[in-house]
Amino acid sequence: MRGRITALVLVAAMAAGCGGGSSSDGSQAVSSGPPSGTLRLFAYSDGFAKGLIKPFTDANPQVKLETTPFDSVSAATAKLRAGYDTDVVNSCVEEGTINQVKLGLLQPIDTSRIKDWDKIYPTFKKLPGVIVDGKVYMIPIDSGVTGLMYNSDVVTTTPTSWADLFDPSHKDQATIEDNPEVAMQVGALAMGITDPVNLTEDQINQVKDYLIEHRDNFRTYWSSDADIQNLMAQGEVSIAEGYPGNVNDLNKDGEDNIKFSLAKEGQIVWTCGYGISSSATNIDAAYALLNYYTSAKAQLYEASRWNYTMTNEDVAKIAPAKLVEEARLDAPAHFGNIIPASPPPNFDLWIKAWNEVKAAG
Amino acid sequence: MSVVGHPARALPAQAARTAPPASIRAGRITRRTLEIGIVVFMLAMLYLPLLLLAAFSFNDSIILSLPFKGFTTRWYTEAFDDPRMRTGLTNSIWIATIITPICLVLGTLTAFALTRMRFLMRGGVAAVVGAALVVPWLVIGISALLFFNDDLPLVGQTDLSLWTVGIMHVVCTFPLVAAIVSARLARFDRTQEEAAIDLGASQAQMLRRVVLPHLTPALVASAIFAYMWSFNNFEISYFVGGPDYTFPVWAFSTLRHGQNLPIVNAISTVISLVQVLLVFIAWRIARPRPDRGDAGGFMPMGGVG
Amino acid sequence: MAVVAAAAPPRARGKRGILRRSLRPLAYLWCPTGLLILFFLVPMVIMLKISFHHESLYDFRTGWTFDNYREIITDPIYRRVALDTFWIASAAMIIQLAIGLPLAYVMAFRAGRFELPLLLALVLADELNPIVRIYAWRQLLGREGLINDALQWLHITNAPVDWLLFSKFAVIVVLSTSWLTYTVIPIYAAMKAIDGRLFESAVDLGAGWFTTFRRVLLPLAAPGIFVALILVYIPLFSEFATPALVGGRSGYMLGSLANSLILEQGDWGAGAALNFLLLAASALVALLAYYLSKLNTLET
Repeated sequence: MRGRITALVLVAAMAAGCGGGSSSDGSQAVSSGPPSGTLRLFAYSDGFAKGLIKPFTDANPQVKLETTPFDSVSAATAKLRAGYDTDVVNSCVEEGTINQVKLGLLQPIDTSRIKDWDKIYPTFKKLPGVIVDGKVYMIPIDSGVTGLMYNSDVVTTTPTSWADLFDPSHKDQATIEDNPEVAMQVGALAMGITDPVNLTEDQINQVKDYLIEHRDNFRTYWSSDADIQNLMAQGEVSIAEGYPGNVNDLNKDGEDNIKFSLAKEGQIVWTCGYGISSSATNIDAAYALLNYYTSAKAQLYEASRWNYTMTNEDVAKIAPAKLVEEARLDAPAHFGNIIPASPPPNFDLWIKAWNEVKAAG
Repeated sequence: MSVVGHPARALPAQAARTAPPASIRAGRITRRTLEIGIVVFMLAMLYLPLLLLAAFSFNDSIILSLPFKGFTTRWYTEAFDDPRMRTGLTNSIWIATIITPICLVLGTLTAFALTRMRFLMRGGVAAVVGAALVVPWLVIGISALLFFNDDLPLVGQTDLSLWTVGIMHVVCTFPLVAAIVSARLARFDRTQEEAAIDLGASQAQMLRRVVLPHLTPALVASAIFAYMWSFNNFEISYFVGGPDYTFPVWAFSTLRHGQNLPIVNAISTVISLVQVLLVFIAWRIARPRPDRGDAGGFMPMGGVG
Repeated sequence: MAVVAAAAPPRARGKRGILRRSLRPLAYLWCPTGLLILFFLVPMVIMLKISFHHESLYDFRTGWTFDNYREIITDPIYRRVALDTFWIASAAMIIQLAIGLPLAYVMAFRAGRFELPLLLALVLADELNPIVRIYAWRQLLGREGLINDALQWLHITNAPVDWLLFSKFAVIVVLSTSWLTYTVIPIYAAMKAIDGRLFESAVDLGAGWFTTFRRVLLPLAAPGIFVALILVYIPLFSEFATPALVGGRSGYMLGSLANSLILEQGDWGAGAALNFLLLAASALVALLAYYLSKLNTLET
C-alpha cells in the first residue's frame, strides 16, 4: 500500500536525520596554530555578505564557516532559547543582548583576546548589554543614532526637537518606529523627561498617556527599513523618527528632498556586534572571527556598504572624507550624551505600555 | 443545464425546444455578464498587485512605487549573485518537490478515512488534523524545536537539518490536502462506485478508475497549494532548520535592509513565472486531445448551460 | 433525477467484513495520524505545559500556575484587541464568501473549458512572498497610489482619500485578497460534487434563483464552506504581518499581540496560553459551523 512505502521512506529519513547530523565537527585547536574546524555563525544576513566575509575565509582557509541567518534578534533569541546551538551570535543591545545574557545564551568574552579592543570608542564599551554585571558579552561593531527624518518639500523648517513629531501641524503625517524602547524614549524626551532610560512606573504611564493623546499625528508605526523608506518616498508621511542610513539610501535613490536632523533632546543609539554562544564548541575560530569584525578593514567595508557608524576609531582615519561625513564615522568621538537604546530592568512594563498605545488605535 | 457525462448515467431525453422568449434570453445575458464580471473582478483583485510587482522588479529604484525611475535588471543580477540566495532557493525547491507527493498521498488517505468511514476516533482525528491547520506556524515551529531538542527515549536528540524541516512541512501541509479533498469527498455519489463493483471491479480498480478522476481538480489544486505552502513556509523552516535555511528564511533576513526589498521582489517574480510556466506545461501535456473524447486525467466534464 | 446521497461505502460482508471494516480506517490513517501525533501533538503538549508555567524573561518562578490564562482573560487589552480582530476577521470572511461563493459556482458549473485555467489562475496567484505583495497593495491604496490617482483623474474626488491605506479598510481588503484562494478552492471542490441538474429541477419546480441558492446550493456546498472557515477564518485571527504593514494605527490584531508576547517579551508562558485560548475558541467555532452545516443537510 502506498501509505506503507511512504512510511518507510519517512522512517528512513528520520533515521538518517537522527544519525548523520549536518553540523558534526567541532574540533578545537587548543590555542596553538591557526584556527580550524567548523565555525557556526548565526547572524543577520549582512553579517556574512560576500564582500564582508570573504577576507576572513581567505585568511583562514582551515576554518569551514557555516552561516545561518535570522530576521530579528528577538527571533534569534527564541531559536537559541529553544535549543539551537551555534558558535558566534550577532546581537544588538537595543534588541535583546541583555535578554540573551539573562537566558544564559551567551558566554563572557575574554577581551584580552580581542586585538583591537582598546581601539573601540569607550562609549560603546560601557553600553548595558555589551557589559552585564561587569563581564563583556558582546563586542560592539556597528551602530547608529536615531533622529528626525523629514521631507523638506513639506516640512520647510528643519525640525530640531522630538516634540516636533507631536506638533499638531503634522497631523496624520508623522510616523515613529514600532519599537517599545525607541518609541517610549522619544515620547519621554518630547515630554521633557531628561533621563528616558530609567523610567519609573509612573513615568511609563505618563509617556503612554502622552503617546495615546497625540496618536492622531501618526499615520502608522513603521517596522523596517523598507517600510520607513517607502513611507517617506511615497509621501505617506513627511516627518519621522528614523536613521541616517535610511536617508542616505533615499538620497542615493534620487529622493533628495528627504533629509536628516538630530533632535536636541538627545540621540538614541543602537549598537550591534557579535558574541559567543554558551553552546560554542570552536572557541578559537570564534575569537578569530570576532577579531576580524573588530578590525578597521572589515568595519570600513560595513561603513561604505551600509553607512553604519563604526566602533573602531581607526576607521575614521582610513576612510575617505565623504564616507566619514555620510556615515558619521567620527561621531562617536563626540558622543557626549548618547542615550543607549538598551532595555531597562522593568522593560516588560515598557512593552505592555507600548502595546496599549498600539491597541488604542 | 449541467450535464454530467458518464457511462453509468443515461441522459434524460430532451424534448425539442423552440427558441426561448426574449425575457429569458435577456435574463441569460444578464446572468452571463454577471458571471464574467465576477471572474474578471477576481482576476483583477488577485493579479493587479502581482503585475505591479513584476513591473517594479525592473524599476531602477529601491522604493516599490511609481513613478518609474528607469529600466534595470540589476535586481535580478544582484539576487542571483548571492550564493546564500541560491542555497536557500535550492533547498526550498528540493523540499517542496519531495514533500508534495507525500502530502498528496497522506492527505488523500486522511480525507478518505474521515469522510467515508465511521469509526470511534473519527472526531478526534478530524480535530487534530484541523488543529494542525489552525495553530500558527510560529507556535508549531518553536514547540517542534523544543521537541527535537528534548532527549527522546528512542531517538535521542534529533539533529536539526533540512530533514527536520521536511518532516515538519509534511506534518503541517498534508492537512491542507486532507481538507480540500474532504470537501470534495464529503458528498459523493456512490451510485457509480456501486455500479462499478456490481460490474465486477475490485475496490482498488474502482478507486482508481471511478473515484480518482473525480478528485483530479481537487488533487491538482492541493498539489500546487502544498508545493507553495512548503516553499513559502518561513517560521517552521526558520526554527527547525538548524544551520540549514530555505528561501523565505534568507528573504526575511535580507529584508532587514531596505535596499534589499527590490531584490526579494525580483526573485519572487522569477519564481512565480517559473511556477506558472511549469504548471502551464503540465496542463498542456495532460490535457485530453479533442479526438479522444475521454475525460482524461484533467478535464472532468462539467458542462456549460 | 439523480439522487445525491451521502451513502455509506459498499458494505463488506460477513465476519471478515466486520474486521476489515474496523481495520480499514487504521490502514489508511496509521501513517498520517502517527506523524501528527509525534510531530504535532507531542510538541503541542510541550507548549501546553509551558502555558501553565512562568516562562518569561522577567519571571522564572517555578511551579504550575494559572496566571498566564488569568492575565489574558482579565487584562482589558486582550478583550479590546480580540474585539477589533473579530470585526476585521469577520468582515474579511464575509467579503470572501460573498465573492467566493458566486465565483466557485461559476467555476464549477458555468465555466466550461475555462474551468481548469481559472482554477490554475486562482491557485497560482497565491504564491509570491507575502511581504512583497503587501507592498504592492500599499502602492495601490496609498495617498499617491494608483487608486487615488485614478479617482482624482476621473474627478470622483479632488484630494487623496486617506483611509484607503493605514486603516481597518486596508487590512480587510488585503486580507481578503490574500486568503481568497483558500476560501474559493474548498467551496469549489464541494460544488464539484453537486449534480448540476438539481438546479434545473429546482427551477422546474418553480424556485427563483435566491430560493435555489438558499435551499439547494448552500446546503450542498456546506462541507466546502465549513472547510473554508477552518482554513481561513481562524487563521485570520493570528495574522500580524498584514496589519502591521497596512493597518496603520488600526492594525493591531491578536496575532500581533501573540507575536509580541513570544518574540518581543519572551513571555512564552503567556504566548502559549494566548494561543491555546485561541485554539479553544476556534474549536467552538468549528463545532458550531459543523453543526450548522449538518442542520442544513437535514433540512433538504
